[in-house]
Amino acid sequence: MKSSWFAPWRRKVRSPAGSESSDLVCREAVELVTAYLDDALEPGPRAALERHLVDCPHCSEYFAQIRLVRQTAAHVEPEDLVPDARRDLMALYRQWRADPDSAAAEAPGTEAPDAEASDAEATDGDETPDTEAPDTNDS
Amino acid sequence: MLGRVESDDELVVRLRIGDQDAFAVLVDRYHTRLTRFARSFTPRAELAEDIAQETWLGLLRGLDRFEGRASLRTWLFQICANRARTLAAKEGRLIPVDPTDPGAPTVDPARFGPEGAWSQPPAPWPNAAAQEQEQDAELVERVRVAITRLPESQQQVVTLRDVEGLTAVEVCRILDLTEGNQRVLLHRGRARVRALLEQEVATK
Repeated sequence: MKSSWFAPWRRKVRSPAGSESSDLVCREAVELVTAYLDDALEPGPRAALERHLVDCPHCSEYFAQIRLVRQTAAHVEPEDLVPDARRDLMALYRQWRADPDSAAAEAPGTEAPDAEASDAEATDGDETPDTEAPDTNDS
Repeated sequence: MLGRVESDDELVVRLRIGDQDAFAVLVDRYHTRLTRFARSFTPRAELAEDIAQETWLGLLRGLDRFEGRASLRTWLFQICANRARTLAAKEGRLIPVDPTDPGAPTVDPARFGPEGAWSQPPAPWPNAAAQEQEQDAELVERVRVAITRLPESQQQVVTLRDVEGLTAVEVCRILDLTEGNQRVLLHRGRARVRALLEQEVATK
């Protein structure tokens, strides 16, 4: 149970269904679910995992549950916009339009205006690394 | 025109020429999502709100430099993450590294027999097999709560990947993670959410 964790495809073990031999054991298979769903497994391990899933109803159930978690998470809605927040943000916008340099100093909703302003200034350049980063098409 | 949903890119163009309505549309589209993401950095709701507000200031200030090579969405979340870290550092609070050993198993080893096969397999969930089932509001709520109980770094990755639906590449960029670290955090986070739901099903 110790070192086998890091060599998931070394041993041949009876699958839990008791039928066919499989390259993977369940304890190892469950650790591959995320790489599998991201299509990040090498062909060999991927094939071994797929053989295991065919053989093993328990791991198939486990994978289905992880898929359900992922699918359900996509339906979690954010909380409603607080009316004050919208008002504050539109005020922030107007301040910025009037004087782009001073907007931070009076940013609404901040407890310590001076500190927030200097913070915003100090890190301004760090906020837009995308303008330097190589293009990776996200779509 | 009525009812047409404008793309982020179209709104950025309008924002650049000083269109306040475009800003309002973007706020309606993203502010609560930014606040939710900020909450994965801090348990304090008002601080998360501040972080999200400052994100918008960062957007306005960087507008001229934004070249649209990344999506606006990625850029907003990235500003938000940077702002959250800056505030945490200023408060002298370190963003905790995920305390769990990345090589540790995500399923309790006691649930497997000596040969590594399940000895206590997962009990089937009634709806886990159905791929296109109706969304179960109660399940959505359970998942929402479970995500808020994850360690910060796992919560950040799960929120961006699974709740917001961003790609691994986007999430690595936003959180400044390697692809491998991103996947480990996602893996641990999803497994933990599943385990929390399993406990709830068992005690129901």
